[in-house]
Amino acid sequence: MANRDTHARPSRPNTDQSTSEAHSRRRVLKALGATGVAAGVAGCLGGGSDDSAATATSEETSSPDTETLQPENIPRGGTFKVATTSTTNGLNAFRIGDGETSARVEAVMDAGFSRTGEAYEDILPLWFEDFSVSEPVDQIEITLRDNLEYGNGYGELTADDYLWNVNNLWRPDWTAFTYSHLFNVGADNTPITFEKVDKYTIRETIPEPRPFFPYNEPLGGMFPIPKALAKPYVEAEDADGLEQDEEVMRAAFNGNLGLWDLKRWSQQSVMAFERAEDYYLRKWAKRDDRVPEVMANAPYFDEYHVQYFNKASTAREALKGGEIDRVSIPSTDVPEFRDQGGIELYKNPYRSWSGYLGINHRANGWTQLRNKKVRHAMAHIYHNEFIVENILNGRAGVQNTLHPTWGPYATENLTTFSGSLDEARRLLKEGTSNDYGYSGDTFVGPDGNQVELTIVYQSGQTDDLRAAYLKKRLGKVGIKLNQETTSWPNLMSNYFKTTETAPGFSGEPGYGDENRQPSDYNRGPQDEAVSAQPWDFMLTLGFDYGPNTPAQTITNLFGTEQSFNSYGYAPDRDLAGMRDAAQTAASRDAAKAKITEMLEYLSEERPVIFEYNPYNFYAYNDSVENIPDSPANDYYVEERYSEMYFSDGASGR
Amino acid sequence: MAAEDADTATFEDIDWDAQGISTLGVSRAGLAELLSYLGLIAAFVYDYTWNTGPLVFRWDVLSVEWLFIGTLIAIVFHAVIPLSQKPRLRAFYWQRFKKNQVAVVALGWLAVMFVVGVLGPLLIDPPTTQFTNQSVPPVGMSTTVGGVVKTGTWQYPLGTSAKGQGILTLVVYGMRVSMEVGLIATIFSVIIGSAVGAVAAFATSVGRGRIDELLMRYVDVQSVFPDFMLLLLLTYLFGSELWMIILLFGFFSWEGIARTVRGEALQRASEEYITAAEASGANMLYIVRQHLIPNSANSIIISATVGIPGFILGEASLAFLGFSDPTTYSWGRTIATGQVNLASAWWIATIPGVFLFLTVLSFYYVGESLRDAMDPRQEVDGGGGL
Amino acid sequence: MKWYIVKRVLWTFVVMWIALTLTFGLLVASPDTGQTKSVMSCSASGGDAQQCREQYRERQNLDKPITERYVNYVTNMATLNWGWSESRSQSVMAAISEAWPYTAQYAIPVLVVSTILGYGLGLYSAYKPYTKADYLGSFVGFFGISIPNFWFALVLIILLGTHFEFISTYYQSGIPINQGWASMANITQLLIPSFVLLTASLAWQMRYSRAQAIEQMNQEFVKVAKAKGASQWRLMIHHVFRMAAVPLTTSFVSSLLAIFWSGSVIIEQIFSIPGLGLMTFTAITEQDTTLVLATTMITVFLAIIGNLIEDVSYTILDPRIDYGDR
Repeated sequence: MANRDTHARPSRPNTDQSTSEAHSRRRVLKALGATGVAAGVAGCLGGGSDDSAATATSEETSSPDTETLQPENIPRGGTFKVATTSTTNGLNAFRIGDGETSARVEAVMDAGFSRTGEAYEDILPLWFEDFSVSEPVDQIEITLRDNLEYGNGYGELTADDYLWNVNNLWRPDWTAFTYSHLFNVGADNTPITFEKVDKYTIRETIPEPRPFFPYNEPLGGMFPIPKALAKPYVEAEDADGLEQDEEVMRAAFNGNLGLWDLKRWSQQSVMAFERAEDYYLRKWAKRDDRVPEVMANAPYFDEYHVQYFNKASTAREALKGGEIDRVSIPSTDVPEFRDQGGIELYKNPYRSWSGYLGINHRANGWTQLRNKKVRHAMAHIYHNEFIVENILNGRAGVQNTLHPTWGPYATENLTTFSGSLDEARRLLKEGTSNDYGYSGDTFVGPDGNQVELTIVYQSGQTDDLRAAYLKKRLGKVGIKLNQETTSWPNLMSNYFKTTETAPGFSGEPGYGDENRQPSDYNRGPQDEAVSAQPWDFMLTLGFDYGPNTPAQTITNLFGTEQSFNSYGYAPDRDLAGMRDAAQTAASRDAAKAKITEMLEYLSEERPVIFEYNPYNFYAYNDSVENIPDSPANDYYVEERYSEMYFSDGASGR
Repeated sequence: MAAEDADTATFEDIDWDAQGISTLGVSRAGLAELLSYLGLIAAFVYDYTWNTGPLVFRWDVLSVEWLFIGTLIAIVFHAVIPLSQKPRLRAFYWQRFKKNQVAVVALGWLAVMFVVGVLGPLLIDPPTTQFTNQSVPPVGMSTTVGGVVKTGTWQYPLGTSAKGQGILTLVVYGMRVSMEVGLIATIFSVIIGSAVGAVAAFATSVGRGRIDELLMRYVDVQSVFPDFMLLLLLTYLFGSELWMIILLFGFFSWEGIARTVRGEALQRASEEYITAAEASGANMLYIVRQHLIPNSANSIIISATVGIPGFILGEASLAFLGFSDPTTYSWGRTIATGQVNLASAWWIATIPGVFLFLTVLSFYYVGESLRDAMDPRQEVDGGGGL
Repeated sequence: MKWYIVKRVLWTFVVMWIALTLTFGLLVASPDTGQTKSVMSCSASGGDAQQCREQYRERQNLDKPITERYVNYVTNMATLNWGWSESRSQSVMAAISEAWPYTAQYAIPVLVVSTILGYGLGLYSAYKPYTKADYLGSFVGFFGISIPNFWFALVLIILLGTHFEFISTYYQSGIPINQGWASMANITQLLIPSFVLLTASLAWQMRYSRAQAIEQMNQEFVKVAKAKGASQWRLMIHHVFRMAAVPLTTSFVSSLLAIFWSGSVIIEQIFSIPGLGLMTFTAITEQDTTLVLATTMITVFLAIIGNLIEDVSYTILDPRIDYGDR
């Protein structure tokens, strides 16, 4: 239920929960998955313009290990225990988009590669020995390694398996595969052509060059299921059966394809993995330069446990007591853990989740919010810098558009607001229609009563404070705020979904004459389709995106007739057109201008009040070695459990 | 003297009209009660439609608080006034109650709580969220929270929460909420339970057993459903506002009272004075109201007193599980939000916890003693047998 | 009397059927998160939301008329085919059979101990009221039910687990499997959760038995026995206790259920014990309707059976109760 680093989708922040994204290779690929546009301009990702971050204190940074041990000398042993507060549906390679499965699947199966930088070839090759992109960018050739073996007697993993999966599992309708859209490109969904070059090589071709295609290339993140296993279900077109097959659910066929094998899965308790006897990458550690040498004997733990805790506070107690080796901690607890002995902190400020104050432009909200000046007033009132400083204690990055300041498209030309309440009052007066105005200190509406707005959110430590802040500030400009808390499912189904017709509108809601309804979250223009419950502001729900691919996310969320424009925002520019222009640009550099234009437009328009992107903090047990330097160097740094080990080869207390 | 009596007392002198029992007849006390309810409703309508801002002093009456006032009125008229009219009975009960010395202390604590809970919010400002002074320890203590050393001051004698709200204020406001939860839910369940139980019992006694069967079967069915789980489910689906929680508590807890009242009433329904009342023309409603329920009053009070702490703790448990009303300041909610930092800022969860503990404990002791005092079957240490 | 028992058994079936129907109603009325999730994933990845929804409904048989769904539902329940749990990706039966041992391993011992201890304390309290020992006993009992047990559990974890490192801060579910359910390691890690639960349930038994004992002590037959020269001991145990034990069955079942629900949900959450309480709570928050309904049915079933046993044992054990004319 927590924030999933799956493709761009609305989600809740993970700030109070742990994300035990072990091998987060998938994180990057997933983020690119649905958004469709990726770009990295050389050099902008990483340390760069992190001006809003609190200066990292010396305890949060760590100096690199003075010497790197040889794989033979690294002590082996122990059980590495990681705490999580999210439950999972198993290791279902078939249903990776649903639930919390993806990170777990990565433990037992590596997938094609993981990205280490923006250049197309900046990858850590795993199953793929080679990943070459042609120039112009309309073809990619993938070469598999030659020692990939399935378990349970299913034989070798070759190009045939991939192609069979494409045609029988990933593309067909009956499977309802979450990532099936990745196999098509462009606005008209042209299918990608896959052809087999030889036993281990596949060629993917697209009709016209698209500079971001390598970031969305589908095969790199997929887990092919052995043909012999899936065939009976394919013939019967039985998606449920395949989904519920024991072998599929426990990924029992993983052979030498991953670091770990599933040893035991006790639901809502622990998922225990043991070190895989055969791991294909060990052979390549010395031979392939791009693979770190330490992988020659990886992993160095005997067992890896993902332990479920219902209460994050108990998980942190367990870490303090030395029983757990890694837990995510909220930013407010950082000083306490810093001072605690036996604990090492790891800070990762590169989190691709955007928190903002959602605004309802639809007919069942305060329609004055449709005026840009009123929204600018709100941006002064709900001042993002104050929130980052005081509610998040400086441990987050301020965002003035739907893009983090460390992202590749960070630009200086964004609109910022000073947070002045006088400005806010002035803008309110100017921005609202004539029948609104100030009567003394109260801001009254056409019926002579004080304007009352409603904010809806899921109660939590941070969100309660954010709502209280907004209430206080609105009170100072004479507007009353009502707080409504609800559960996450309720928030989604009654506030974010647009299931009802606007009062006063008769007929079927929809765009254009044919009444097109793009999705449940956007069933029509702002005056036609509304949510089941009225609301004006919304917290908790933010957006998960890949910083490399903002154009698609922006369009999905704010474009007219787009599937996630639940806010009902009606831009006066054609965002979808701008996105298409960016995606078919001659190169990523050329696309940059278009994307920056979109971001600056959003910053000026403020369809929602952009706030922050949070930092992740993790606490490790002191005895764990080879943790990446803190703070993380760039977006691509991962905490690789495969490279970590216990300093004395033993775990626990 | 006999001769004189024989002269004056004749049949014709009996004024049947004056002795007639009317169904809807109300006593003076009943009339006063009715008027107070009407007054309450009028005030509610006024506040809802015309008034904005606080009504009395700084008190902006919330929906739950209207219910609370209604509950207080009911208690005054049905418990306090009858008691004050019967000094001998009062003395008798007090005699027996006093034997349990701890219970007397507990009663004192509850009285203090009640007064503070009712009057406190009238006189103190509600807790406000602030961004300074967060997580300050109680006066005289100094701890490191979030890397910053904080010392308690007299401004916040019991410290502050993570949102900068004074713990003392939270405790005072929490008292009121706990009172509300306990009393309103209890009254609610008492009303439903006694009505159902008494009607069922009376129906059997007059030969209309079907009604009894039907009612008791329904009680059977409702009692097999797990209340706690239904509570979780319903609050999860429909929101966790305080009045909703209270109503749900009341609605799922009346089965016990219904059964008890029915048992008691069944015993009494076959007694002579009921037959006499029937013969005089009273109908079911009147008999239930005037005879059956008051005579089961003892059992009702005993069950009710024990129900109250259950409700209060239940609300705290729901708050812990995440279902609480964020606009109210119940102890449960403060404890629940504070338990995240139990290791570092322990006072946030512990201090309200102590108050909660003492209050619930007092209710149990008082309830136990009340039972000893009022239930004739519980003749401890002075009755028959051992 | 036999008729009475037969009638009660028949009524039991009726109640179960009513409960089933009501839960079916709940199923139909509650929002379907599985659908929401599925449609959201589907449309987030660019698929057509409308089509996704229809596909989902077809998969889940939601497009059939309600009567057909109802019949399917009832037959499934009766044949123990309780459906598939979305949140746990396994059949409901499998989920329950995995989880119940974890709950039973502490709930049943706690129940037994609290009953015995509670009855003992209650009897003693009735026997010697208002003495120091009585006060102490009641305090121990009341302490348990007055303290918010979640707070108590957390404090114990922090003190004993983190600071003094006496106990484990969480329950390691591998231990009963690897080393046996009755192994020392398992028992040690269950001590604190059981203790918290015990304190919470002790008082109920105590109060109940005290009330019952006092009531019985005033009965005529006790006076007669005393007049005949029975000793205090014999009076208490042989006469009073036996009669007070009759309602033992009621309180046994109802306290089992009470402990089970509110207690275990909280305890299992805090200690991460993967039992029925945690399973139910997660099912509710994830709106895994099939699982929620299944657990509701189990409780309802237990309650119904409990009521039946109580009624029947009353008739058998207490000769004063006559159901001849019912």
